[in-house]
Amino acid sequence: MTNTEIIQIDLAELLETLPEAVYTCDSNGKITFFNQLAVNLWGRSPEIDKDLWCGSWKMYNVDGTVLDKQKCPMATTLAKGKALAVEEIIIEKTNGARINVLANAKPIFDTAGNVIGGINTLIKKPETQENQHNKEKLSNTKDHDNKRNLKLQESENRYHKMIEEVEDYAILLLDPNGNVQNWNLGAQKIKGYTEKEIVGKNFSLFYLTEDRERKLPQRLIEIAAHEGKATHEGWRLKKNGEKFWGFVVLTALHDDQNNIIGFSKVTRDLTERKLFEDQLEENAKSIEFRNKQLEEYAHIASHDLQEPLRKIRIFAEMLSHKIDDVSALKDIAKIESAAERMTILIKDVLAYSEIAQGQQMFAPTNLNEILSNVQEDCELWIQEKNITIQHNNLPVIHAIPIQMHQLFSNLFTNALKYSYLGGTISIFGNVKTIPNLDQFSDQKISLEYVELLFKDNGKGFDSKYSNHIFKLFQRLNDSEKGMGIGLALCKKIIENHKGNIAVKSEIGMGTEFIVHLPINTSN
Amino acid sequence: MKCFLIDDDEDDREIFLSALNRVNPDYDCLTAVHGEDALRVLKEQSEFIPDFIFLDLNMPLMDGRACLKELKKLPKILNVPIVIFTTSSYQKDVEDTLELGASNYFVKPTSFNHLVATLTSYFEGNNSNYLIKL
Repeated sequence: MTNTEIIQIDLAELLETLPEAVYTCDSNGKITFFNQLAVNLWGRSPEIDKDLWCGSWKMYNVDGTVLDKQKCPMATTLAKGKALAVEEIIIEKTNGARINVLANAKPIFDTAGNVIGGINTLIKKPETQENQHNKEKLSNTKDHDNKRNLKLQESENRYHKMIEEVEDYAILLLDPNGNVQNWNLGAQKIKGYTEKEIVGKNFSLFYLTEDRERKLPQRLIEIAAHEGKATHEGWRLKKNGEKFWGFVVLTALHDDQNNIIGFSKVTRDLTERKLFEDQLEENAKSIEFRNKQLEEYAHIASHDLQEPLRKIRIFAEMLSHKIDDVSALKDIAKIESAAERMTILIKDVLAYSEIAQGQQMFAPTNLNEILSNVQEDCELWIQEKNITIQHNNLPVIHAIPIQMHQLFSNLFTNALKYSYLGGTISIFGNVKTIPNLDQFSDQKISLEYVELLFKDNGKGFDSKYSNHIFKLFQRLNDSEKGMGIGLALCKKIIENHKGNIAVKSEIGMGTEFIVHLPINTSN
Repeated sequence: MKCFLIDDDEDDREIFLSALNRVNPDYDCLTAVHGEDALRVLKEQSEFIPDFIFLDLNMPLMDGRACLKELKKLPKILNVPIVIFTTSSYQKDVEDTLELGASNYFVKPTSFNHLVATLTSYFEGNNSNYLIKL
């Protein structure tokens, strides 16, 4: 054994104990020695004196490009005859695993300084282990993400299904320019287009021509963009050109940076309700119109009816001047009396028809004056029946003077009519306050009312007729002086003043009318 | 005393004449059935100058307003009081006719006796009330 061989053998043992992969080559590059760790690293045992420069199958640069064996660190160091700086390369094991190593290639010199071979140490990168860890982490995260994505996908599917299948609302997604991005069953049902026909088209297609001309769709998008939401009710177009009344809500959708990424549009078909409402409005107008016509008719009719009545009365009177026969005169008196009643009735009908039209004629009305006027008119009658009149001080109220006169006159004459001889008629008024009637405002409003009590101690009537007597043309007895419309007139006048009337009565005891009238009628 | 009554209603003419007779049987009254008829009568009977004219408002062919305007153009009528005698109680009719030169305005009463009383009072010189509702 030569000295070289001894050294070599010792060297081999020494190298075997090194904790890193190490191998040697001769000056031609043929591998002369390698340790077990090198075998582990390469995944193979190279053939001594045959394999060149490196025992690994493949090598790569750190950038991933293939590293030719001729250019590998060992080859380079032999070729240059110089030690190289530490270089990181990637070794691919036979099982495909790639390992980053730091190659430390140096030439071996003889004593004369000639290159007789090379030695390369391949050190596994210390971070490699961390990378391994990270790779594991990444793969776990990937798994985690995949699971999460799956869940999201499921959730999205559920939402999709929910929106898809809703039939009563058209729920669409529009892009920032208003082009339709998706469609649901409700949209198809309401607007008529299938998904294929409409996706990609602009939502202004659903609007009437005149609305498109006045840029309604654009304005709605602008409002939604600005304020987050835009609502609108109006006519829209179906695919077949038919109109429907839509209630629409456009909502702006934002990303995390608050940029608008589109709009959601929810539409409800309210055509039925709209048509119903329109019909109601028309009906109301029609009723109002007919009411007016009826009032006009009553007005004209009562005027025209008074004409012949006037003739009847005058000729009856003239006739009575030409006749001496007592029985004939009695008959004529009956004619005159009936004609007189008819005149009053017609005047009352006329007054009744005119009540609602007096809106502009409200004025401060002193009820004491009204009462004393009525008393004056009935002076003779009061004296004839020897009636005592009692009253207190009545207030001034905001009312239509002529209607107050009609009211008092009717109630007073009623009381007179049904009073016994020597009876008493009393009219007492008290101002009352009803607090807090307005539930809709925060203000405490108190409404001032006058409560008027018209009382007589005359014949009275069965109280079961209390509601009856306010009806038009109702009479409870056959008294010749019964007018038939007076109390209905009173009720209408009071209603016109936003007041209330009620009655209490007992046969043989008398009657009391309870009237409530606001001091101030606020319209 | 001679009156001139212009009224298209036959009954109202009869009532008026009866009432006038009651006031004073010596009072005379000529009648016309509407404005045109009235002007014709006044033209044909050139010597006829009434002491009072009673004029209805609602008449065919020429109504009270138009007739009033024409009467006021006639020289012989210049000083004759023209009393509107009508069923209408509309304030506008009262105002318009007074503006056109009517001297009084009566609403046709529903009572014969009242009519007699009113006419009596009127001819006795009580012309202060221009609107009497009876």
